[in-house]
Amino acid sequence: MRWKSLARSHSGVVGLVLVVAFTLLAATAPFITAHDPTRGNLRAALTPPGQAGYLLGTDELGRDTWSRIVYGSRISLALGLASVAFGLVFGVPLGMVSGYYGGGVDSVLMRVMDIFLAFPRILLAILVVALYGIGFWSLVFAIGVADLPVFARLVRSATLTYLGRDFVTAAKALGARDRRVMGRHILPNLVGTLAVQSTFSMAAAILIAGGLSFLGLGVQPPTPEWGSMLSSARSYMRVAPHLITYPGIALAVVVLGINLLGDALRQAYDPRFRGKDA
Amino acid sequence: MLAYVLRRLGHVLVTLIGISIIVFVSLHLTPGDPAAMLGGSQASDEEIAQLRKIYGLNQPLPVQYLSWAGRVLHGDFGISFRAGRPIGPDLAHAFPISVYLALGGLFLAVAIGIPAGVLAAVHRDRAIDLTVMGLSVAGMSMPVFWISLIMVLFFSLQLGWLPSSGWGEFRHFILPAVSISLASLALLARMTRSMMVEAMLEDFVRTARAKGAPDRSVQYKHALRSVLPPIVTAIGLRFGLLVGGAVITETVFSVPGLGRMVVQAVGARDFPTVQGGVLLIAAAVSIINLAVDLLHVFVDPRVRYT
Repeated sequence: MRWKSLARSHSGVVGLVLVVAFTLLAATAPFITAHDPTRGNLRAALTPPGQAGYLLGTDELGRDTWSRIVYGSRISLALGLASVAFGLVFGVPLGMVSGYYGGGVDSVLMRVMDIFLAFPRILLAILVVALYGIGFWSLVFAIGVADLPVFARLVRSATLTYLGRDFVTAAKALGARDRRVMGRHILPNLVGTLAVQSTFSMAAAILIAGGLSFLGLGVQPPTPEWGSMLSSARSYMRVAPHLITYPGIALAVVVLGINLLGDALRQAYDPRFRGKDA
Repeated sequence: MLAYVLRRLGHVLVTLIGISIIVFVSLHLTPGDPAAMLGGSQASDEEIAQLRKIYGLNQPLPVQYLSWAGRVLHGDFGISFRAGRPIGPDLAHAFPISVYLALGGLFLAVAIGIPAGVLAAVHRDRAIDLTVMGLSVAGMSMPVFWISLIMVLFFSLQLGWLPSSGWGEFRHFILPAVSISLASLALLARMTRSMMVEAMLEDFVRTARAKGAPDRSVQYKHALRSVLPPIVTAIGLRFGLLVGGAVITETVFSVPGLGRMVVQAVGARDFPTVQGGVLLIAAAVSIINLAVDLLHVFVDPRVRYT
């Protein structure tokens, strides 16, 4: 990691702080919340923020909004990480094989990737959910499947640029097998590119997960999730606008943090930005 | 040139066939028997067998695919499980609504995003630049469904200026169009800025300035024009995404477009409608992308079509 160039960008530092803050929130959830996120007190339903010991108020079932937001960060971060990992695990080898061997394998794989890219991301996710039902892993598949062609295309074009380089030719001349050339000589050069794309993919994945849950096709109540919290808050917009405000802020801030971090990473790894202050 | 156009057409044809195979196979990968689903929970075994025969579900999959694809090409998307009537006319009704909404969003994104990007690039690293770029990162980070709800809360419930749902009049169109445009607006502003920053350093821009051309003419006629082709491509790709990506906006504002149709169909486990909607959207996206590619060739003389 290029920590120095990262530290030089102010927005990158802000992004990193936000991401770390949300990770801590997710990790320490039981210690920083006073109420159970799924069990409510009906007599305290729709309490406005700051009253009766409820920092951010309560929802229609009297559940503490702060607790639900804190616990909600767990599922959002987990879905984001897992679906990006899915895209990496399947997309990177596919792209590498495609770029390395070229020819017919390459054309066929890239045509298939084009087909997947023709589906708008949320629609592909909806199609998968419609087929496999709703559950953590089917959501990971639904969200991550759209990342697969993105990573595959990225890795393919990066592989092509390294293919003719001397260190690759040297490795081949020394008798290294294809797998070793790809894994030991080409892959380490792609770490920066992949880190940048993974960051942006994770931001997008968290937004898609929230969107699916908002549509009722993602994480199901009573599990606390920001998108589904916003969805149920719609019915109480007039009487309890705070239910709309806070989950959205949480979602926007975590995605903003990840995007800022991604921007800073891109500048740190892109040679065109090197040496310039961002 | 002609060879390039033909090859792109060939690629799109392959993509369209691929899309239709994915969408077709998806129904047959569902857990459960399509015939039992068609019949509903009350159907007897004989009735289900009858349905299987009527819909050709006892034939091999490739045969089923070909006859399905043939019917789709004639505009026959089958019968909706939920509504019990043909899906084709419903799709034909919803599709232009989604396109109309996407065009509205795209118009806002282009009309605001590009000048904002130019302004930011010209005032690089100054307050205007930081404001535009800050707003643009925020715009890309905020979830559409949240912004939409906040707009409803403010403009519909508190101020009472605009309706929160419905379709048919211009006032129904404003909030959804703004909602759908935000992400594209932010993206276009960022993209225009970063390309303009580089273009403003080019020799021909310096020449234009040296011969005394007014600032506005230097910015828009010389610098922006040189970076227009990739921006046009980006606009085209966004249009494709907007047609299908309007799922959330259409649901929040009850716009009777394709996206909402698909979401409602998923909720009702109405697979033929899901299939038809997804197929239409994906086909529209790839045809729009083709159009953009071909347009690119005409806009940018530097593109070599080999």
